[in-house]
Order: sequence, then structure tokens, then C-alpha cells
Amino acid sequence: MTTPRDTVESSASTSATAEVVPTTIGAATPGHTIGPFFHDAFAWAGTSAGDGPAAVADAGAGVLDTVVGTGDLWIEGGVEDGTGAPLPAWLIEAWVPQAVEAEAAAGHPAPGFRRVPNGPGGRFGFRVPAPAPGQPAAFVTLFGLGLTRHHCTAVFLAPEGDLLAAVPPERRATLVATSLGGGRHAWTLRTQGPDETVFFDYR
Amino acid sequence: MRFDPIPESRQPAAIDPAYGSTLRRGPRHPPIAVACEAATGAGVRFGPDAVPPGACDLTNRGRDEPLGQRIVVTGRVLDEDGRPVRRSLIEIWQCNAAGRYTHANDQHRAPLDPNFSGEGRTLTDDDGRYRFITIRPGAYPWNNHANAWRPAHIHFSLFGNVHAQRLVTQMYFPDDPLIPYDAIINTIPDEAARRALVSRFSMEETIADEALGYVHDIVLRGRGATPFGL
Repeated sequence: MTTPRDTVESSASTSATAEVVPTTIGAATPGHTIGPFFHDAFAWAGTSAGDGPAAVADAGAGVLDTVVGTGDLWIEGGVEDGTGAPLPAWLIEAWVPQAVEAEAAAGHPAPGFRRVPNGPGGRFGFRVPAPAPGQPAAFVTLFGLGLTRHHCTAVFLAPEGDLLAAVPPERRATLVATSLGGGRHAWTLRTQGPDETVFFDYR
Repeated sequence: MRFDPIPESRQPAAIDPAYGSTLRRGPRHPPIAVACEAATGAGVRFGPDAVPPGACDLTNRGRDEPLGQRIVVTGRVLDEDGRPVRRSLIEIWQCNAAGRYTHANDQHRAPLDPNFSGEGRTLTDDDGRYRFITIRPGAYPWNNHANAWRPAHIHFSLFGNVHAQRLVTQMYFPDDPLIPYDAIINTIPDEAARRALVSRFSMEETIADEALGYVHDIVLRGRGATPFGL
């Protein structure tokens, strides 16, 4: 039976002339913008740590662990466009491998995962345990209205590691958070401009 | 898993003058390709409470039936080798039959439906299959350009089995006359790639006296999965 899916697959297969492809091969489905209305669907896995400057200024005090994760360190920041204007109602997801074991043992619904819609000023915050040397504090995925698909990046607490080494030296600083003392770290994502955040395509 | 490059024509352009919000928001640098075992060999594993019973049925949230055409949306989540992506989380969200989201920021002049909140989630089974019951969403206007309307669509959020498989996308309906005019789907240059976002009607999935059936398969990035999907 011919279906639209079959058509897509066969056209992808014919373009791959240099290799033998199995009949079930598929081409990855394209991404799309997350749009402005994701909040209710995502609320079960945590929201709101970005909803107020107060939550950020408190360095996480009083914010539920199930929302922003566990760990002694706190990463806070903003999301800005090419003019430096904040991008509110965007979404930051953080994958924190070094937090998985402890959070799984504590019964967290999504161990190692933080999901933080940013607030009206574009601000967000989440917790992490200290990463191993050379490892990022978190693998971060950025979603937002006007971002036509998600983008992957990572935040480091020190300018070292294999991932950073793959980045041109003049752009590495976009991935390194600044210590504010007391375990707090500041990190701003910029989608354009001279300090455009580095995004990765993992292979 | 192994992640091969995706042809640029099969992804939405980061900046597209026809989609105004992208002009100051889309990154100008291409992403940097880098080997990263932490992102391609592991990912978030959701606990047993992540998907409560009934979360895949968006029509059961009120005291009464939601307004609109009840539909089944089902399909398989596969990787680029065509292998099923098993036990992976899917979240969906959508507007109601009148084209209105329950979200406070949606001020479109269309009625809310007290029996429809428009969000659901499920886990794929061992065959990569998922199945939602919902209502067909309406089209709605947006302010991208004069007389701009979004085609009816359902937002999909997929986690796959490793971090690098994460995907947020949208599903459209066959024969929707608005699709060729949509500035969002048209950010994708390749026609076959755009077509991959359009579901197909299925009489086999249609339930007599109850719901029309639509089938939509989704291919996540990644090849060479182990039996554990990593």
C-alpha cells in the first residue's frame, strides 16, 4: 500500500545513491517551533522556576526540588535576542547526568531533568550538583516562539573539557557561567549578535 | 547511537523573512558538530508516575464531552534505521475545535470549551506505537502577516531514548487548504520533509460510530541503537 510516509521514505532512499538502504529507512522528521502555548502540557514535569525574579534572586530557596532539580549549585540567567531584548515565555530544559543517580533514588519523576519556562523578563534558574572536571554542568535545550526548532547547548562552570575544545576559542565564553559566589552562577543565552550562544549538533 | 547530519533542506531555516519572529531570534551560526557520548548514549528516563492512566485521552477531562470531531491519532515512533523507539515519552498539546487554546495568553475571539484542556501524554509501546484520543483542532488566526491563519495542527514533544533524539514538532491534517500558506511549515525548504508533518486519514483506525482515525509516524534522529534503544 502506498502511503505518504512510503513516498517520503522512497524519495529519501533514492537520493542516497552511494549506499544500500534497508526498505524501512526513514529520514528524520523536521522540528517546528514550540510556539507560545506549551505551558499546560509541560506543567506536570515542572514549571515556574523562571516565573519570577524573586525565585532567581533567592537562588532557589523555596522552589520545589521536583521543579528545578537537586544539587548545591544554582544556575540562573536570561534569554535574549539579537538586540539584547529578553525573550520571555521561552523554555529551557536541562539534562544533568551527574544528578540522575541521587534523584532516581529519591523518587523524582524525571531524574536528572529540569524543565524551566522562563519568566516575563526572560529569566530562568535551576539546580545542579557539581559536574566532573571537564564536563558541562548541564546539557541545555532551548525552545521558543520564533525559534523554528530547538537548539542544543551546554553550560560549563570552568573553561575546560572536550566539548569546549570543539568550539572556536573566541566563542567559548558564551558557554561558561560566571560565579556569583555562594554556589550561584550566572549564564545568559543569546540567540544572535556578537555573543551568540554556541549551539551543538551531537554526533 | 550515531547521529548523521541532516540535510539543511529537511530542517526549518533558522531565519526566514516570511516568518517575522525569526528575524531577531534565529541563530546565525550553524550548530557545531561534536561527538558527545553523554548526549547520544543516555537521556532522561521518566518514572512510572510520568504517565497516569487516561493521559492519552484528551476527551475525558470534563464532566461532559468536548465539542468537535472526535479523532484517533496514532502511529509509530521510529529511528533513522526504521527501528521502533520503545517506551519513550510523547506529550501533545492543541487548541480546541474552535481554534482557542486554554492558555491565558490566547486572546483569539473564539470560545473556550470547559470540557477540553488540550494536553495529553503517553509512552510508546515495544513496537514504538502510540495512540491518542482527542478532537480535531480548529484553525486560528495569528499576527505574522495580513490574514495569516495557522492550519489545524497538534504540537508533539518527543524524548526518544537519548538526549540528542529530543524533538518538538507539529502534525497537520491531510487536505487542509491552509498548509500551503503557512509561514511556519514553509520554513522547511524540502517538500517531502514538509509532507512528513502531514498525517494521513485511515479507515482502519477509524472507530465506527465514534471517531475518525489519523495515522502519523515520526522518525527521530539516530542510528545504530542497541537493543536497549541507546
